[in-house]
Amino acid sequence: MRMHENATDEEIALSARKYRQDFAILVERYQDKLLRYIRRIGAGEEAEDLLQEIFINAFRYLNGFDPSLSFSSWIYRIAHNTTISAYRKKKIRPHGNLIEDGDEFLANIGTDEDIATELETKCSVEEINNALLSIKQKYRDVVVLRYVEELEYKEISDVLKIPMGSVASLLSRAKKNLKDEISGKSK
Amino acid sequence: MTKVSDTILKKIEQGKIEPMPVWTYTAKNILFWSLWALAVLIGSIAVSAMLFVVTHAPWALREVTYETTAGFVLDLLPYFWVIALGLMIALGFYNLRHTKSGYKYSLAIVILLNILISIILGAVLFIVGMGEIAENATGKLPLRESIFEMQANRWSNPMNGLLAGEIVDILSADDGEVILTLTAFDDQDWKINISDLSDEEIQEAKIGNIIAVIGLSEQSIDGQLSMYACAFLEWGECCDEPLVSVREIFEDDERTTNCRGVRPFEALRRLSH
Repeated sequence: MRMHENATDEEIALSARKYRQDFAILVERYQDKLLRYIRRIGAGEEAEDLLQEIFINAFRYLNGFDPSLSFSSWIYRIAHNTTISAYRKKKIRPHGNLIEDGDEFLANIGTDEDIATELETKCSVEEINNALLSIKQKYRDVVVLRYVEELEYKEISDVLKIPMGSVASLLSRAKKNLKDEISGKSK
Repeated sequence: MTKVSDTILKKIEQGKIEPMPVWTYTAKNILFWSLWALAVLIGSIAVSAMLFVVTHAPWALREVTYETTAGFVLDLLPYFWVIALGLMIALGFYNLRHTKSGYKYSLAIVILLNILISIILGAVLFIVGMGEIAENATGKLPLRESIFEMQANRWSNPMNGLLAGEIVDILSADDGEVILTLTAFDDQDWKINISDLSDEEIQEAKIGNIIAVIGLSEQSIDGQLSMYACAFLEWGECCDEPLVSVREIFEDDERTTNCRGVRPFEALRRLSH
């Protein structure tokens, strides 16, 4: 039975366990978001192949989806894990198009005045991207999820499978690292 | 242009890809919860054994068997059980983190929870006697010394005036000397001269009894191992239950000067005051 287009992601995911045609709705809903996301965490020209692999993995693990969590967090987790594992397999470093719109990123990260000023006054989009690429993967992941994908702490906790307290501390350290990286580069 | 969703559905169909069965997720979750529970249970057994060691250690005689209290405590510390508890807490954390929702709990909360459950369950297991069973059962492991072996080794130290074993013979000579034949824990026979002890103590010496002798190891020309006894205590179930109380031993003290200066004996004498 094909689900109605207005059904929630969670309802469609449960239905797609039996009716694989319904899975197409989820693909359509998430293909652009996930493609942007995996590019932001470092995928290069292989991004589209990776996207297919992500959806195939999502279909394979569909019975593992816990309807008490949001489908969005769950599929972001699969996207994150598939991308990271692809880097590890091919032993390649992430590419450099983490953010496209510097203003939006700055607006989101602007809750921390110090770092926002630092970024605003001294950096271009390219410099922010380079700084993001220089910090550790675990820091890059939380920064992208929080300030680029604009996920809540709870969602980041579900995507990265870490406690919410760890999300906050990782984010704080990530911002410090980012600031140090930018300060260092600008000197 | 082909839609991404069509390509993916085609690949799923061509590759005959099916969602992994529900039971694999359920089984994985049950497995990790069970391993967590097992780790907590083993940790609790470790706590019960620690409680057993601490409560059954021969605290009263520590000055007799050890030169310093620090030495006694260091020897007594249940390293094996502390390491076992640490490993189980780490294993418990690992397993809990791999359950479906385990990632939501912080390291500190999981560890504190594991320790708390281990202590509470460990206390219950100690009360029902699990501590002693665990201490006994693991005593034979390589590099492991149970509290029983630790005490047996401590009392197999004749050069320092401590010797324990079973009385296999009692000989009273015409000149008033009373000699016990004692088979020590290493199966060597010792002649123990108990002539210096009070009549009450001598009457307590019976063939088949296991005793702990405090005395002076003596040189013998014929190679016979011998000791001059200053006092003896019955080897209790866990070496801390003297047959005659320490105070009684020295109630009517008319001993010769042979034992003066023998460190364990002087320590025992101090306990009586």
